[in-house]
Amino acid sequence: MVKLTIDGRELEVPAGTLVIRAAEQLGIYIPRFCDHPLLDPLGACRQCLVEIEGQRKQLTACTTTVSEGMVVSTQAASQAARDAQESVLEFLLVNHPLDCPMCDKGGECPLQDQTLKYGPGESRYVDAKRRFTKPIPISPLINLDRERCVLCARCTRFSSQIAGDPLIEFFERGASEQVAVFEEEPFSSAFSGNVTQICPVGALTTSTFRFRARPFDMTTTRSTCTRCASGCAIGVQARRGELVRILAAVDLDVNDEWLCDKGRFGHAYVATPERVTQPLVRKGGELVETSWSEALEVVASRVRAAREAGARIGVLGGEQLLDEDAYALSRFARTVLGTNDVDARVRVGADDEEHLFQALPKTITATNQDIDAARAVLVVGLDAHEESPIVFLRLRKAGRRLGTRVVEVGPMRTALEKSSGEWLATPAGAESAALIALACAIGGEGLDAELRAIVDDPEAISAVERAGIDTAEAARLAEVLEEARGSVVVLAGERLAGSPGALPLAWNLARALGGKFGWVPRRGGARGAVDAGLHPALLPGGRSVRWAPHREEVEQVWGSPVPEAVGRDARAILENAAETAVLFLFGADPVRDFPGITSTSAQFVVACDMFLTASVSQADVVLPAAAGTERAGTATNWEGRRRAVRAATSPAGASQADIEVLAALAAELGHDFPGTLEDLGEEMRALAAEPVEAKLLEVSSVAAPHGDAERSFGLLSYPMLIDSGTLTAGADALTSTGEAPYVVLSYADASSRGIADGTTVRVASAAGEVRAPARISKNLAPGVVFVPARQGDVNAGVLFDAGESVGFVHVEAVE
Amino acid sequence: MSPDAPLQQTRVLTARWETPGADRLPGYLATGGYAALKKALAMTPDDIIGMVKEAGLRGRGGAGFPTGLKWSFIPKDRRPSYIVCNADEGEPGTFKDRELIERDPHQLIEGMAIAAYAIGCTEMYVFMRGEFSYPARVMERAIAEAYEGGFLGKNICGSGYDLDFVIHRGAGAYICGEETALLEAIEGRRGQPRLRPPFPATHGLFASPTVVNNVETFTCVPHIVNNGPDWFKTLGTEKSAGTKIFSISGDVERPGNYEVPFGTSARDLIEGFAGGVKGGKRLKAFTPGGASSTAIFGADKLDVALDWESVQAAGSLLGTGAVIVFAEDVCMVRTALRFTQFYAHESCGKCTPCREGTYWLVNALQRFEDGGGREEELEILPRVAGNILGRTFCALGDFATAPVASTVDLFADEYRAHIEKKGCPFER
Amino acid sequence: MTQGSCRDTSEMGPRRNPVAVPPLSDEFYENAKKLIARYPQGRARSALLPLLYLVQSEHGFVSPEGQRAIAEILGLSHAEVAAVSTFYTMFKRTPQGKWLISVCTQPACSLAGAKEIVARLQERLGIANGETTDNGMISLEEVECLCVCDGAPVVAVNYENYEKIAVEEAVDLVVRLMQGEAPPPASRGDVPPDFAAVNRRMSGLEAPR
Repeated sequence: MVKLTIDGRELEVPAGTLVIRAAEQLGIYIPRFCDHPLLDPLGACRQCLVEIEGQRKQLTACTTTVSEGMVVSTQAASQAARDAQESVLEFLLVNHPLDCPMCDKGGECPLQDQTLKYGPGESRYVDAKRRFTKPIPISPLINLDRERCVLCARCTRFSSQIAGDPLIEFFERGASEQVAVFEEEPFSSAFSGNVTQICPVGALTTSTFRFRARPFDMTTTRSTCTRCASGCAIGVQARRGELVRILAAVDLDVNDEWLCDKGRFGHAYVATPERVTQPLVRKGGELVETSWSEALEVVASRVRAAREAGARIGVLGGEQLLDEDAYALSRFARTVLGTNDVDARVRVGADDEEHLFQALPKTITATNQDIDAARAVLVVGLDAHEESPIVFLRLRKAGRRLGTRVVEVGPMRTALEKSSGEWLATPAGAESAALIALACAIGGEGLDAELRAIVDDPEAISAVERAGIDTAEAARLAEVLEEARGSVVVLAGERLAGSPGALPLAWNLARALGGKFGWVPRRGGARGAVDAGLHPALLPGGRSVRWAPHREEVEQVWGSPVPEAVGRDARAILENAAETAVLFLFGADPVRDFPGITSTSAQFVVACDMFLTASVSQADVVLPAAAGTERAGTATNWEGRRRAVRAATSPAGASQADIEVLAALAAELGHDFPGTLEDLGEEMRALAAEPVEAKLLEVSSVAAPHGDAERSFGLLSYPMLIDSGTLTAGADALTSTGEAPYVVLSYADASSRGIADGTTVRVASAAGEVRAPARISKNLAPGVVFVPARQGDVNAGVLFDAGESVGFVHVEAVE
Repeated sequence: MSPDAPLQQTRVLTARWETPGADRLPGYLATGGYAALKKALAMTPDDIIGMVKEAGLRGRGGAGFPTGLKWSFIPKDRRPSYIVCNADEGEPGTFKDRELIERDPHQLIEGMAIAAYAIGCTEMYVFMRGEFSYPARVMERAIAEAYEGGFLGKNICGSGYDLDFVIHRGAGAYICGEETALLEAIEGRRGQPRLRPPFPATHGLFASPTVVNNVETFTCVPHIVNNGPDWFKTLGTEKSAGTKIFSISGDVERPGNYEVPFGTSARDLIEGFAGGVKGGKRLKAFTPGGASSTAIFGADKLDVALDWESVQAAGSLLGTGAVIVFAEDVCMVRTALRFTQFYAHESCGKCTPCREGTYWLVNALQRFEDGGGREEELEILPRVAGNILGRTFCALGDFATAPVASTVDLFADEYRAHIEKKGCPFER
Repeated sequence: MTQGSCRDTSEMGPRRNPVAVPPLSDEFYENAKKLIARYPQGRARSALLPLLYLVQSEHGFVSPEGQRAIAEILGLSHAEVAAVSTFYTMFKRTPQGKWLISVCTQPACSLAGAKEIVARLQERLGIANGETTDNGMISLEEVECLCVCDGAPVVAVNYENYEKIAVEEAVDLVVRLMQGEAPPPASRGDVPPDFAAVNRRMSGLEAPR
């Protein structure tokens, strides 16, 4: 610790603290532009000049670290410092245009605020200001006004250091220095919006907020983003009851001060006219608007009939719900519908997940802080940049600050490559083989006996061989993990379910290395759904349907019996939809999202959703759901961290929060059902699991799927961050930054088939085909083709058989 | 000094300039070349550093930092270390490094090699400005000769020490004469100065311990090794030891480089060596240290001794020792404008006061020159200059303030004449 | 530096006036490897300035295509390469003539008449500072100190200096170059090579080691 004095007040701070940060601890604000606590110090703007005893010149507080006995005088205590700061502001205003009346930043502008507080009253400059063409769009989302720019380099440092996308840089020098992109190449970064938030002037502004509102006209509600499982803190801003803007809020444990572009710009769906805001009932083949009472009545009567006839009722959905919604749905299915045919996974799932989902709510798993401190991170079946962007930033940060080694396992290397990540290539669906190879290489004392037995099993060994894993490379990377023993994090994506045995193997490997495991699903409600037991074999708190004591614990709280038989999973429900008397869809679109399903052919479909998606438009009753920004609750992110979601505006039209819909339905069916956040919260607390240390997970099979002579390519497919997803409706500027359809092939495969960059390629399975231009990449394993799940009008789902996890396809050029 | 006695230069660094062929290896060897290197290779690195320290050698690139001290900052336990020669001479009025390279390139190589051995460096760099086409060719030829002659490469002079040499060209940026901006340029970046600490001595080129010295500084080293530090101290003054090459230009009869001991007066240089003001005109002003002189001197300062201490005491900075002479008919407003234009053009843009301040000053001075100046600006402009001084990221900003600050101070009447005449009253 | 103005990259060079260039030669890529090899392992970025000179030697300016190629070779983004190329004045945005005429107008040279030389040349060539003649022979620029103040005024042709050059001499020299004649030997005795050759030298390919 170091003792120093600032403006006559003493304080003690850790060694290495910057003077500007130390001052803040005393509540002393030193004006600044280029300084930002999350960016490397620069000392360029010179605004934070302070006097330090014994120093000839004034020094910048943002680059000076404290020293024992240092005596600092800021502008509050030193005329010299005040003069220096005033002069810097006068200099900045030499060329800064008087744009305030029409500048979006006005009202939340550090230049305005600091000039008023620390600047001279008038400028003595009388000559012309420099002119630039203004503003120029550097992407569909971001506008650049170089006249306003104070060259603080926050945007360029963010893009280069934090995001790893050095697409904006300073060009020229001297008074001509300006932020620029190369030629007409846009600032294409999934994190581009952040530069508009940290820009201290109106040089970088968003096209979506242009001229929309003044900061003082808006209400700001702190909430949590639910667009993915990162769980970023956000500020939701509304004007006159209309959602206008979303900003990143500061949460150093989760997202620092960053947000991805989808979370920032993708909120237009809340107000699009396409949104369903009135209950709908199918009459004469058409969905017509009706009242809540009628809609509820229709549903209730069908449910009653189904129950009386002993027919099956199914419930799909939950990965888009808040925690309370998911819990209520889980309880509703069991106590009101009397069924365990419940599954949140409208995506590729696996039996492996049952044991994982039992363990997750009960076990101490990885957090962002573990990543921060990790010496190595193993990433399997996860494309963090596309699926959970803030996790990607966290991994980059660890790599930059600590030199953390990141090892990716999978058929395709992701954007982690630019953070010097390592890559162990596998065929599609064979991640388990790679994990076995790593485990074998760690070997000896490094593995406990149980895991040793698993990897020494002949089936396991032949799986590695069949998959053609580069065992030498595996050995090298195993050493990297071994060296990091005790501070390893293993991150597994939801896609890993497509590789039999991979999830428990990843879990066990983390445990064996004395590290932590993290399951990183794609959707914001996926972890909450796990905790709520939205699974045919699970109950809230990681309890199992199969075990009587667990059922009893739950029955105690619910006051109602829990069905004993394990239910059907999503695949079984959908494949046997004809048998289902009533199918509930809560924020679920199986037609679009469940591979190989083209219709929800249940006898009666009730959907609670916001849009007439492919599935919802086939439903018999549509109950309008309130958006995540229109109601309160909590959301659990991939770390298991629960964060508050708050309402920033009122629910549109007649839409209701899911918990209210369920309570109303339950009431219609004569049940006493908790319908408030408080009541549900009390039950959830009562059923919450006590955290324990990780135990070994059983590995039942590691048999990787494989193709045949005709369809030899393993198909890798998952949704990109910006795609044609339902909730990007209305966010045209955002979706225009998404890519046109494409497929990716490795160099070896492309050249042997005469395919060049841009050649149109036909990818065909037994179920269907897609056509798109090819991209040749060195970051794809041979024998694999990557087709993004939903780009433009190409939906890779057509290539899968119903519920298939990994498809195999035929690939050829077409011209 | 008698006006009739012929003035002699004290030729140490320029000793070979009059000898044809001394720029080639045989000629260099014949005039005692590489003897110092051989001698140094038989000494310990610590002894060499001690010798240079004892001699009181100070950097000739403008800052005057004690060279031996700089070398001693290199940690002994971290390798590789680098010697980098700053041959990015770009200061208006300075042309000594250019001629040193053109006429005696091996002297530079030898000096750098001794320095390299002293800090355990096995790969030396010279950063030479792009515009120095001919000097670069001379340097390339000399390096090739040195490799062939066994003075560079593996096992130099049979000592078992390996030493390589890389030439790296600049591309037109005066700011790259600042040592950390220079390192940025070698590393393939924009030439903007770096934050210090860490200092180049511990984190310089390629994040390794580095010594950056000026061309002239390195050329002093072989002479110190050959003749000893005491000899060096007999030349110059107590705090400014040795000889200095002064570049005299502007309105003089014989512009050129002149090597004299520190402490020689400006009068001797201008009237003695350079033949006085051209055309017999009266001297109006001169710069003791080139464009970066913090004050331009009037004729009343002709007898100031040119060494670091004396010039500082007289209110300016010696810098690189570039003496530009202005005759009585030169417009000092226009001169200030040209100098300020130089700084504005060369400003890297990183920090606010230099970037915006030079922009302001250039516009104001141009307006003054065109006759649009105002009386209150005679107070405002020096204040603006004062707001730049000491607040910038690097010294370029400080230098940029000198022309306007000192001309308003010394030649306020000329500024007023511009206001009155609504234009420039001078021809040149 | 003129009042109120500055260089607006969005309005300059290839964006407004695209220039067709041939693909870079195979030799370029081989030479790139050689240049990178001069620097320590992991420090390929140091070859950026030399590679920009090499592109300039093939295309006559730092073309967007050339910058993209360099970015690919060095593993940098296009913007990172352009950030560096636009910082330094010797990297040109538009194709230069065969002969680049640089005239220093700093005080020592101005006192010796450099401004007059610039004015006469502009008049004679019909181009302004920074421009190139239509026949592609001459580019003219005013530059900062070349550090040949003892030879003021100086006219450099592809960075070979003609010192103590009288106004008429300067005009005559440039007119002859315009007409396709070879330049006379410069003050140090060498004849200036053409723009492509001088940039090739700048890249350091011909330096020892």
